[in-house]
Amino acid sequence: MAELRRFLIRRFLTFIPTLIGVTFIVYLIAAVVPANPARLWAGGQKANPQVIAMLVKEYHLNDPFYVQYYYFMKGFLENSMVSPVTGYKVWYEVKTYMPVTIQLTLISFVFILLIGIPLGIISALKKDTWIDATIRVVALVGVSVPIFWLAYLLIFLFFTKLGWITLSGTPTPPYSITGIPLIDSILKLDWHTQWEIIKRYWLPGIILAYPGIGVIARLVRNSFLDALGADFVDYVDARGLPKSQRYRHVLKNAMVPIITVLGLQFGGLLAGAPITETIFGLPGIGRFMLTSIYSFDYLSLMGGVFIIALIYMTVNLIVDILYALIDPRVRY
Amino acid sequence: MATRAASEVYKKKLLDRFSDALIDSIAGFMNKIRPGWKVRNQARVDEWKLMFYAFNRSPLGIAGAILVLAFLLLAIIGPWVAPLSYDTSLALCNQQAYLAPPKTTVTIPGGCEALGVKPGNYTLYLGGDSFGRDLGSRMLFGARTSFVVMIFVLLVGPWIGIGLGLISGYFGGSTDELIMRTTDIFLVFPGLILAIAFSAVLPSRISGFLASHHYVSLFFLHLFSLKIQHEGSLASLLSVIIALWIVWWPGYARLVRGMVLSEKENTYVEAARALGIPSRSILVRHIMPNISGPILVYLSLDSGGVILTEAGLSFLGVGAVPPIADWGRIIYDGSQYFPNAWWLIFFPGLAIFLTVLGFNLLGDVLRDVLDPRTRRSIEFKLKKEIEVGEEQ
Repeated sequence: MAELRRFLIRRFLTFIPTLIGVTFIVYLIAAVVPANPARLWAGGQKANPQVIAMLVKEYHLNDPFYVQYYYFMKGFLENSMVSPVTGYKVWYEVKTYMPVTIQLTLISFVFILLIGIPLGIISALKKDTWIDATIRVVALVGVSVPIFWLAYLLIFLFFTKLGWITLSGTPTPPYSITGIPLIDSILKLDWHTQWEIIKRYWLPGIILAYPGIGVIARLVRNSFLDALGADFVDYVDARGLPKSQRYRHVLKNAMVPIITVLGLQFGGLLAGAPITETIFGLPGIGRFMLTSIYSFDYLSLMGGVFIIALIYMTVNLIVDILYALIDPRVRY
Repeated sequence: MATRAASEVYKKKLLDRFSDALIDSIAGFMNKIRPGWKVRNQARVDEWKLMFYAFNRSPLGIAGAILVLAFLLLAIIGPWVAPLSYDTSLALCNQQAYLAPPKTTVTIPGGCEALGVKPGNYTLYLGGDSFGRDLGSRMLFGARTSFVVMIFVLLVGPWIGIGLGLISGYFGGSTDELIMRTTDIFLVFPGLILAIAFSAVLPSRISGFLASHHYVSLFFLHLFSLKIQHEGSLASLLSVIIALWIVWWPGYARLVRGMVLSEKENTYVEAARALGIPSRSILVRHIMPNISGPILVYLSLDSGGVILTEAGLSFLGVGAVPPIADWGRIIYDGSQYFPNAWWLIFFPGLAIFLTVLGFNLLGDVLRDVLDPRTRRSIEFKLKKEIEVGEEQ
C-alpha cells in the first residue's frame, strides 16, 4: 500500500504543472483575438469612445500579455471575471449551463458501458461468426458516421414519424441537492422527473455515445481475446475451476486497457457535446461556448474551454487511480 | 521452390498483375534516377509486392480504396465538371429552383446571363437549396474543400508530432520530459473543443495576414477553386487548417515516442551508433523506416477523422463561411428546412459518411497488411492453398 500512496501523491503533484499549462493555452485563445475586441463589445461601429476606453481599462486590453494573463487568471480564480457581453459573471453562467452537459455525458457514458462492453464480449465469444461480423460493421460505422447527420436521420424517424422523444424544454425538478436534476431525482426517488429526463435525453445520449460504443466494442473484443489466450487461463482450467471462475479472471485482466480507453472516451463525449446540444436544443456548455463565439464574447469562451479541460483532467485523474487500484504493475 | 522469389509463389489475380506493374514501374523510375537502386532494393520491392497481394485479397480494403479514390477523383475534377458554379443562384431567375426537390428540371429564360447562367433547361439531380443553387454542383465543390483541408492538415500537424516524438523518445532526459509534459497539457483538451475555440478566434488574424500576402491568398483561392470575389471567406478555411494543426500533433508525439523507445533498444541502432552515424541520420534513415507502418495506418485513419472534424466545425458555424461550398456547412444551412428539404441534409451527410468510411476501411486493412505478423498469416494461408493446388 505504501507504493500506492506514493503513486497517488506523485499523480496529484503532476496535476499542478498541467493545470498551469492549461491556463496558458486558455489564455492563448484571448491572445489570438484581434487587437481590440472592445469596440465589438461596446456595440460595433457607433460605439461610444468613452465606453470603449472603459472596457479597454477594465479588461487590460492594451497591457502587455503577461499583465493580461495575470489579470485574466486572477479574474477566473477569484470569480470576479464578468462577461462584457452578457454582464454576468463567467463562472455563474458556466454553472447554469453545466448540469445539462453533465447529464448528457453521463447518460452517454452509461450507454457506452451498457452497449459497448457487452457487444465486445459477444463479439469475442462468437469470434468469426456472422454475429461478430455484424458487430464489427456496427463499430466501423460508429467511427465513420458524422453524428450530426445521424442525429437528423434519427430525429426524422423517432420524432417526426414515431413521436418517441421530446425535443423541447429541459426538466428541472423543484428541489436541488447536487444541482444536476438527473442525480437529484435519483436521490429523491422521483421517478416522474426521472422519466421526463430520460425521454428528453435518450436520443441525444445514444447518438453522442455511438462513436464511443464502436471504439469500446472493438477494444473489448480484442483485449478479451488476448486475455482468453493467456497462460493463466490454461492454469485456471487445469485447476478444474468452473467456467464462471475462468471468465472472472479473464474479465479482470481484460479490464486494464479498457479503463484507460473509457477515460479517453469521456473526452470524446465532451468534444461531441457542442454538436449534439446544438441539434437537440439543449442548453449545455457546448451551446454556451458557441453562443459566446457568435457574440464575440471571448471571455465566456475561455471559461467554457477551461471548465471542460478541468472536467477532463479530473476524469483522467480518476482513471489513473482506478488503474493503479486494479493493476498493481503500474504503481511501480 | 526455394530459388523462386517470394513474389512468384502466388497464384496471381488480375489485381496482382496490376499492382506488380505499378511497383515495377516505380522501381524502374527509381533505377533511372539512381542507377543501381533496383539491385540494392530488390528485397524491398518484393516486400511491397507481397503487401499488395495481401491487400488485393481483402474485399474490405478494396472497397475502402475504391471509395477513397472515387471521392479523391471527385475532389480533383469536381469543380471542372460541375454543371453550375457553387454560388449560382438559379432562384433569381426562376422561383422553381428555390428548395427544388431532387430531379427537378428548371427552365432558365434569357436575360440571366449576368449571373453566369445561359438560358436553357437545368436538371437539379440532387435538388436545390434556399438560394436555388444546385446541390449536386455544390457538393462537387465541397469535395474539393474537404480534401484540400484534409491534405493541408495532415501535411503539417502529424509531422510536428512525429518530429517531437522522435526527438523525445531518442534523446530522453529533460528534453523528453519537457516535450511530453507539453503534449500532456494539449491532450487535456478534448480535440474538438480546442479546434472550435481556435477556428473561431483565428480568422481575423488570418485575413490580416492574407491582405498583406496576396500571393498566398491567390494560391489557396485556386486550390479551393473559389472565385476571386470570395477572397474574404478564405480566412475561415485557413483558420480551420491551423486550428486542426494545433489539435492533431499531440497524439502523434506520444505514439511515436513510445515506438522509438522500444525501437532504439534494437541492436541495429546500437550498430549504427557504434559506426559513428549522427543521431539525425539514425532517426531519419534507420528508426523512421521501421516505425513508418503504424504511422501510415494512423494517417489513413486520421484522414477520415480530419474530414469528419472539419465537417463538424463547419456544421457548428465556426468553419467554412458562405458562400463556400462545404459538406458540413450545407447541412448546417439546410437544417433550417428539415425535414421538408431532406435532401440538403441527406446527400452531403452521405458523402461525408462514405468518404470517412473509405479511409477507415483502408486504414484497418493497412494495419493488417503492414504489420508483418498478421501479414505472414495471410501469406501462409495463401501459400498453403497453392501447395494443395499444385499437389492435386
